[in-house]
This record gives sequence, C-alpha cells and structure tokens, in this order.
Amino acid sequence: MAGTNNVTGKNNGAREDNAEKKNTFARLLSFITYKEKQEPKEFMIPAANEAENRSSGKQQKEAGKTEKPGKTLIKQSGKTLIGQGKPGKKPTPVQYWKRKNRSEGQDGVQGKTQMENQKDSLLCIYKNIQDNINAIKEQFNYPANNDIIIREFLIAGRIRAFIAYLDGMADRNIISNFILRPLLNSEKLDEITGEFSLEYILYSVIETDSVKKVSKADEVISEILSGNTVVYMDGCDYCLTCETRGYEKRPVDKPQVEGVVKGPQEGFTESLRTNITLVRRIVKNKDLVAEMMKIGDRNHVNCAVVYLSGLANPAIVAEVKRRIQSIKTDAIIGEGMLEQFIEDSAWSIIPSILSTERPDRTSSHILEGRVAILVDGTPFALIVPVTVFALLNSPEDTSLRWQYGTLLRFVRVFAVLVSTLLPGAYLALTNFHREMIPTDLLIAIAKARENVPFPTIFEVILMELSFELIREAGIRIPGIIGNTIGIIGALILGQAAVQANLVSPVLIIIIAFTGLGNFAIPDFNMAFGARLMRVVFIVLGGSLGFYGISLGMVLTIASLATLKSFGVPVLSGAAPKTRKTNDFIIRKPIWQQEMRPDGVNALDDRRQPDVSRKWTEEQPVAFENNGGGQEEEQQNDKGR
Amino acid sequence: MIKEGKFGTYEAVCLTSITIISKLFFGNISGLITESGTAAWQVTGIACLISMFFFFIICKLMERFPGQNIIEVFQQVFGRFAGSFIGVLYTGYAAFYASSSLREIVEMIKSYNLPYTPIEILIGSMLLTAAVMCYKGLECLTRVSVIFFVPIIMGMVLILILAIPSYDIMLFRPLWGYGIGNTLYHSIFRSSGYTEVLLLAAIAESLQGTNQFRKAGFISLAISGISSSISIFLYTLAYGYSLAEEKTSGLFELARDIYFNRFFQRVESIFLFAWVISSAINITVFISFYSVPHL
Repeated sequence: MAGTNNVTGKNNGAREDNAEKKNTFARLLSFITYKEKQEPKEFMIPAANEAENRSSGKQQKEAGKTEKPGKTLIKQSGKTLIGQGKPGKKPTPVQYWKRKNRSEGQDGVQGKTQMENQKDSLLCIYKNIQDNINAIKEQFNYPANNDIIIREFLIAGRIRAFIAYLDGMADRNIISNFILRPLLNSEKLDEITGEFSLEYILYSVIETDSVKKVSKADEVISEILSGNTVVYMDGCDYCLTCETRGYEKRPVDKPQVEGVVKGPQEGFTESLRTNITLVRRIVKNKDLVAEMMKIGDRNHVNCAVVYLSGLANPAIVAEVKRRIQSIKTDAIIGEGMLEQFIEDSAWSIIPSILSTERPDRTSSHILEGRVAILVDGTPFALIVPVTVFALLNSPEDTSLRWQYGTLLRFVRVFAVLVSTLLPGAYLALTNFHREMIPTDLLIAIAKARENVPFPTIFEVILMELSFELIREAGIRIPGIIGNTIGIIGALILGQAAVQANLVSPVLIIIIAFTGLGNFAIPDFNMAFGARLMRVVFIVLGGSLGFYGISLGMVLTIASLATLKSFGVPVLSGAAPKTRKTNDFIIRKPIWQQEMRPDGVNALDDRRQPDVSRKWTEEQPVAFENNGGGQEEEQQNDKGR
Repeated sequence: MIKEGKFGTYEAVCLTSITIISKLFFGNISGLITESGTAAWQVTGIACLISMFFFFIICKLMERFPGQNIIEVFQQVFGRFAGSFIGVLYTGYAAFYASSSLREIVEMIKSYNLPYTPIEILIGSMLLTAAVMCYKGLECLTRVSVIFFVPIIMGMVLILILAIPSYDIMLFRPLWGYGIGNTLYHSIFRSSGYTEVLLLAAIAESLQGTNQFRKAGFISLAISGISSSISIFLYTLAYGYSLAEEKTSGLFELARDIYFNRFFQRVESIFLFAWVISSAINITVFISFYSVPHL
C-alpha cells in the first residue's frame, strides 16, 4: 500500500508540474492574445424615491430571510414598515423641510412618510428600558451608525439602566469616573432596599457638574448630539442628561484675519462655548445674556445671541431672534451662511453685518448696545446693527491714542477711495481729461505707453485680472510658500508684462497702489465690495470719464442710503444725521466719548459722565516727607 | 435718535440748498450779468430777500394746514377740480424745469468735456441715475444730498479761493451796474431763481412740523443767496461784466482758468464732480416732483 501510495504520489507530482507548465504557458499566451476589454459596471445614482424603494425592498428581503418577527422593536418596526407599505408605490418626492412643515401643520401625520411616522412613534420616553434602548438605536440608525454607544448595567445590582452617548463627542473619563463608577459602586444605593427613583440618582449619586431631568425624547436626541450623556433607568418615563462634552477643539490662538499691533491677541475658536467664555471674560456683567438656539433642520447647529440686557434695544434683540428662528433650511455651516440668511439686502455690495474674529471687538460692540451672534463651528461673530463707518474701524483704534487712531481712520477712508476709484480715475484722466495731467507727466505716460499695443482700458482689465489671480492663487497655495509666490509672482509678472510691452509701468504702479488700498480695508466683506465696485468704476471711467464716475458715485451712495442693518441705516451718523458723537471718523480723546452711538438707540445712551477723569478735579495727594518716612520706618520695624 | 419716515432740518436744508446752488454751474450767471451788469451779485442778493418774503407768506399758508403738502392745500383752498388743475400746473413746471436743466447740463458736458460722446448716452446715463434715485424715494434723495452737501460747497469754495490770482478788484465797478432801478426790477423777476424752496412745501408732510418747514426754508434760502451772491461777485471780479456775459458756464470757466504752476493747473475736471453730482440731484428732485405727485 505504501508503494502504491508512493507511485500515486509521484504521478500526482508529475501531473501538477505539467499543470503548472500549462498554466504558465497559458498565462504567457494570455498576454499576447486579444481580449475584449471588460468595462467595470458604471455606478449610477438612482433618483431619490427609487433609492428609497430599493432600500426598503432590501430591508424586506433581509427581514424575511434572517429576522424573526417580534424579536425586538426595531425588527418589529421594520416588519410593520414593510407590511404597511404598498409595493411599487413610490413615496412623494418632496423636500425634507417641506415634509416636516406639512407634518407639523394641519395635515398632521398624513403628511409624513412611513419611515418618519415610524421614527416619530418612537420619539417618546418609555417606562420599559428595552423600549428606550430600541428607540435610541432606531433614532441613531444603529447598527449602521456605530458612533452611538449604549452601555447597559444594573444599578445596585438589581435595576436595569443604561447610558447613551456619541463616541468622540463625549469625554470618556467623565463618563467612567463620574457617572458609571458612582452608579455601579455606590454604597448609598446598596443600602436602599426598596425602590428609588432616578431623581434620587440625580441629587445624590451622579457626580458631574451639570445634570438635568429630561422628559421629552427630542430633547434627549439633542443632548446626545451635543456631546452629553443620557442615563435611563427601568421604570422611569424620563431620563437624566449629564454634561460630558469633550470633543477635540482648537485652543485659543491669535486672530488670523484681524491682527493688531496693540491690543489683545486672542481670537475666537470653533467652539461656541469657548467663544462665549472669551466674551464673558471681557464683559464681566451679570446682564450679559447668551440666548442659545438651534438652526438647520438637519445639522441642528447651536447659535448664541449675545447682548447686554438693559442696554441693547429689546426691539433689535427680538428682531435678531425672529430672523434666526424663522430660518427654514436643512443646514447652516458657519456664520457666513447665517449672515446671508438674516441680512437685510442680499443685493447690496456692501455688507450690512459686521463679521469679526476678535472677542475684544465683539465685546466693545456689545457694550455699545449692539447684538452679537455666535455660531458653533466658526471662529467669527456677527455684529448687528452696524454702519459703514463701524466697518471701517479697527479694534486697534481704541487701543491707540486718539491722534494715531484718527490718522489711521483717515488712511482707511483714503484706502477705500483708492481701492474703488483709482483705476477708473486713471482711465478717465488718460482718455478724457488729459488737460488735467501736468505736461511733463503726460509726456512720461505717453512715452511709457508708446509701445503698448492695447487701449488703456484693456491694460487695466488685464492687470486687474492678473492681480486677482495672484491674490487667489496666493490663498490657495498651501503653507508658507503661498505668500512668497504671491509677491514673487506679482513682481515677475509685472516686470515681464512691462518688458513684453503688454502694459505700461505707470499702470503697474496704479494697480499695485489699488491693491494696497484694498488690503488696508479692515473688513474682509467690505474689501470684496470695493473690488466689485472698482470694476464698475473702471467701466464708467473708461466710457464716460469723470462724468460717469460722478454718476457712479451718486448711484453708490443712493444704494447705500437705502440700505439698513436691522433697522439702522448703514450711513447713519452722516445721513441721516444723528446726535454728535466723538467717535466717528475723527476720534476724540477717550475721556470725551461720553455718549454711545445714537443710531443704535441703546437703552442707556451715556457711556460715562461728562467728567470721567475725576482726578482732574481733585487735589493731588500731598506727600509729607517726615510723616511718610516715619510710617515707613514703623512698618519696617514691624516686619522685622 | 433716528425717527423713521421723517427727516430733520439739516437734511431739508441740504436738499433745497443743493437744488438752488446747482444753477450756479449752468448759464444763469452770464444771463444775470447781461441783464444787470456788475450789479448781478446785488440782484441775486435782493432776489433772495424777496423770495424770503414770499416764502414767509407760504409759511403762513402752510401753518393753517399742518401735516399737509402744497398739492393737498391747493385742493382744499380751491376745491377738488381747480386745486388739482393748479397741482398739474405746478408739476408741469417741475417737468419743464427738469427737462431744461437736463438738456443744459448735458450740452455743457458735451461741449466742455466729452465732445465725442453721443448726447443720447449722456442724457440716458443722467436719466438712469435720476430714475434709480426716484425709485429709491425721497429718503434716498435726501441722504444723497446730505452726503454730498459738504463736498459740493467745499468744491465751490475751493474754486473761488484758487481763482484769487484772477480777480481784479477794480472790475466790480460800476457798483450799481445799470442803475438801482434796473437792479430792483430784475431782482423781482429773478426771485423765481429761488423757486426750488417750494420743494419743501411739496414734502411738508415728511418734515417734523411747520416750524421745521419754516426754519429749513429760511436757512436754505440764506445759504443759497449768500453763496450765489459771493460767487457772482467773484466771477465778475475775474472777468469783468463785458467778458463774463459771454461765458456759457460760469464757475466751470473760472475753474478752467486756475493756474498756479505747470503741475497745478486746469483743475476743472475735479470741479466736474461737484457740477455733475449737484445737477443729478437737481434733476432728480424735479423729475420725482412731477412723476410722483406726493413724492
């Protein structure tokens, strides 16, 4: 048998060798043989209603094959869903918020899809703990969504309970040490022989700093989503939420956009809580109110309306809240989106809301009676209402002495004029009003333009485009090289363009000067507005000279004159005239700024008394050499 | 504190003053000098005083109808039909004024600055600006006037100061022009030069009471009268009455003759801003006055 086995083994080995050779040959042959190229199956996104049907069909199959009906509530729900739905009937493809509105309105439950009805039926807190577990799982799409953590345990070894939180949003150390440990190892609970309520746990067992009782299921969802932990106990139709927020966040850093030489060097972060704290650190006032509200039907982002109660006009606060609460959209990501939803005029080039990343600037506006809006996830605050002149102010102005602050404001006004009008004015001068240019300069410009084949307006547009490209590329190029590329690109491009006789050297100076003016505008949105207006003025200056520019100026002021920021005209202070303020474009000494801005209609107009420097009215403290010396000696003796 | 729907004395003064002063940039000055010679500055001064007297009468009338504009007052005083007819005459005058001013400014722009630009484009662009401001309403028009009031006045003053080297003090003689009688005679007719102050009566309901109406009217008449009188006086000093009556555009010509050195010369283009902006406001005021009965 052994010999037979050996022979068989040898034969087998020979066959394998032959098979290998054949395989090798076949593989080599396959490289040179023609084959039909097999295209991978292309993925097509189905229509929304089709996808929903497919998904429900899949669920039906899976439920029929693997799950037994009635095992859990989720499975029950799945079965019920399938059983109630008519096969082949497509759900009405309406948008999410419309469905939601309709369901909240007169149509009631009839307006909802089956899936929503099913989910809503689970949106309550049951006394049965298993029902609650199932409800949470259903709401958070478990097991497809693994982020929801549900930890079941027994309190005092006999009462079923569980905690639920979102992984990554909550601090596990807090959960382990201050929720689970006290609940599992509490001697107090062991001593109680009878039944006890969840309220007892709230007051006597859980050790986190903030715990509250919640009896609405939608609030439970909101708490879990914000990073808190919920505690359920069998037999209770309410639950506890414990403060356990502990997601990663950026530390407080220097402001990225609004840098100053003098003044605080802190900027907002992406954390709403941190941002409110930064403001509270500056405005240490019990009346500082931060009203929280949620916006976005799908992302439920937190937003805070911050104001000083008793100072901010209640009408402005109410208007801000009304506008925010009335927003019906699926998602708000950042303050930029919110700004577009609540601003007065979407067509205005100039912004009517101030956006700042500085807590000190936000605080100073709150102290003037304005309202700040902070949105979770962005390091910026929105300030309303504002005027154009507030957009031109920098937080540095108040830190500097009044002469320097005033000078800087004049520089900024000049920057706005240069940034908006200079290329247009150059075109008007060279095309229509040459008599205004001094002869020597005119000859110099003419000489420089001698070899340039294009008309001046084309040159200007070409250079503007190049400048915008360099600017945009400088922002997009990653890391430190971004700035370098921007500067070098501008130099090389400018030099090359002049050498190639594409543009005249004078124009390079004009465009560079315009660019500098634009960068000197402190508000980013306003700088954008100036860039857009510049294009209009280039066209007007190039086609109608100073006549066109004058009409453009009238139209610009006319559009600004009717623009309002939460009821306050953006030109207020200048037009309409308001009470004289000592902090307009000319900034008087800080001790002369007795009144708050008039346009805001703050409840308390006065910032400080007429004589704020009381020391100017007091007698200087007379220093007595003998007495003072004796006292000092006595103190020294006591010290010894 | 800002009150919605109303505007203050300063706004009213700015709107009315700019509307009156803008005429100084047109051919009015030369016409005035033709009529009354070197006494043109006196004519405009006396005309201002006369118009103040007439405005006082209008104030008395408006006091009896508080919160109503002049068209409504016409209807109450003369009855519905006759009042409306006078209202139509009133707006017809505004239409005539707006169109003649538009034509005058555009022709001057064409002859002095943009000779190769078709006049249709010049008229169209000015009308477009006026239409936008009319659409935006009286509030917008008033605020635009407030913003540009100081720059326009400063521009005028600057021109008059920079033209000092051109002035010859002896050219103001003969002091009484063609005689006091002639001066008084033309002063009465020239008082219509301040008719723009009636604009306040048309927008009386937007003002904060009759007192403000009176105050704004007298202040704007005073500002316009003084500035017109000074401008015409200095203009006469620059050219003398014989040459001055031939100039088409008074102050623009004066700006054109400014020469300090090879670098600082021919600054009339800067002056163009004040000219065009004030004219745009002037035309818009009258277009809105006749296109919208109650503004």
